[in-house]
Amino acid sequence: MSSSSSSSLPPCPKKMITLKSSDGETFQIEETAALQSKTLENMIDENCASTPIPLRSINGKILAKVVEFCNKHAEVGVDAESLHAWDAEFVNVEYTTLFDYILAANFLEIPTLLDLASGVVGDMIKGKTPDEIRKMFNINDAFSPEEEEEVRRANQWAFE
Amino acid sequence: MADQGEKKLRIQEDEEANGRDGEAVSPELPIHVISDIHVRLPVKTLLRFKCVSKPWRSMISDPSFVDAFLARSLARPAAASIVSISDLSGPDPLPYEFYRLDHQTGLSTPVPLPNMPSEVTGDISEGVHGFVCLDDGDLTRVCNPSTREVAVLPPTGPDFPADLCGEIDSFAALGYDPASKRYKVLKTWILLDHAVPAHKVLTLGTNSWRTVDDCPIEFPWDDCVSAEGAIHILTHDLREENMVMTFDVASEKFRMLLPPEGARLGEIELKLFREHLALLECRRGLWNDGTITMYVLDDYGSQAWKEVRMVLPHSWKDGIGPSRMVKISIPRNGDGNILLISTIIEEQSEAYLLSYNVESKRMTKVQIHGPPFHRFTEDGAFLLTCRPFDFVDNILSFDHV
Repeated sequence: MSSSSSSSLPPCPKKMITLKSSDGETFQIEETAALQSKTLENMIDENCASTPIPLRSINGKILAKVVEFCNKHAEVGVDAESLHAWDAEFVNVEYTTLFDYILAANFLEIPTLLDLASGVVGDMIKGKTPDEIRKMFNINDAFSPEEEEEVRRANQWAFE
Repeated sequence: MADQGEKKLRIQEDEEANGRDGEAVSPELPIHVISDIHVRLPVKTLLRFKCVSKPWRSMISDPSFVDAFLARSLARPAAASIVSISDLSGPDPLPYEFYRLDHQTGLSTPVPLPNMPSEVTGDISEGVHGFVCLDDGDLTRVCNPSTREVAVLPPTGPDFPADLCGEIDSFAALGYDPASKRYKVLKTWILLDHAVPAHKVLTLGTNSWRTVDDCPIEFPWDDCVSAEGAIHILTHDLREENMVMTFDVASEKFRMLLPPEGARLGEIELKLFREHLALLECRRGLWNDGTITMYVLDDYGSQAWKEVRMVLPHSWKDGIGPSRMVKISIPRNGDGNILLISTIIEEQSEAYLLSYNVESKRMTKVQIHGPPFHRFTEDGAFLLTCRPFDFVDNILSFDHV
């Protein structure tokens, strides 16, 4: 059944770039997948991607996931529905991890990941009270009780 | 976009903060990222989050956030209408209440507005960006149903010559000038016995009404639509011929727009269809054989109207129930959908919302539920839902226009 025609061609070497996390782990990513990041795209364009690129603000655990995300979204022939399901599974994590994804996507300028993670955080916080939000976002500079009461009174119905 | 260097620095600081604490402390997100998350939230949530912290409150009130939120909201298909409901057995003029009618489910939820007289009776007109204008004699109110904010404008009256007197009718409409990003309210009074009009205009955010001279309108207003930097008012002349008066919001000048031949006479309605002005003949034809004729002003400059004729399925009248009247509404970005809402509901009967698609020619129907119909119909009275406007999520506060 098989023929010998295709075996003679050597596989085209894929252009890889190397990313280095804040804790020193290195990750290989295909250039085509890396192009989803505008930050990396700029570095590739400026020929700054031949040596490992240090990403001092992203740790190995998060960078591994970001590389996984870029690889998945660079795959050819994935139908929208299964990609959607994959994305939903990808962001099914603690909010602290989502915040890390958002920071990484923001720094690397990966709009698809930023949009996905921001959307999930938005759904998560929609119904929360200001107190819950302060805890979640680690906000310590709240209003004085009097000031808060004033803001509250102006939009009373939103608290009902 | 934020400066790259600043961004890097911020992330490094966050990292240090995390390092110190080690566990379960979430990294601090830059404010532009928080803003990106917030732009997806409902208005009610945003109003609540204004008291999370001062930076959050400033961000939610910031003009760039408000604009981005509105742009996102206007880009979505309108999911709901604002309708008003009156008890027809009540006194004259009829007081009414506002409801938000969800197009998909038919659920209507009350939208109580503050700073309103105990019984709202004035004339309502659709403004822009989801704002609604309410005329109540000397008083004019501009409402944002999505934030439930109401601005009461300074009282004003017409400067008619002293020797003229008689009954006065008044109307108000809200327009928007995209170039200056200014909202203006146009107010018109008509001395009915003498057919003498007077006009004043107020820029939202200011406190003074200015008189508008050279006004050609002498007759009552009908529908009113704000688009293309102008307020368009459907009216008619002494020979009962329909006309569209336009009031340019920037220059504050009136101009006349002549309807096409087919829409000169008879009852018509003025709407927006896919962001173009449209005149609809939907009374005679609709009740005869289900025909709605629409004239769309495709090219605003050349004033060329395009005729679109649609015929609803025969069953449309069954769909509307025993109601004797319908109101037509064309939702923004509605993908060619036209809504028909039953407007007079008899005792014990039901109200329906029909949605007809111009392209697919398909019709769907949902029952309207939520309002306390029984409260209105106890005395065998009727219930009226009138003037459906698109419900637009808009976080702009009148304090900041």
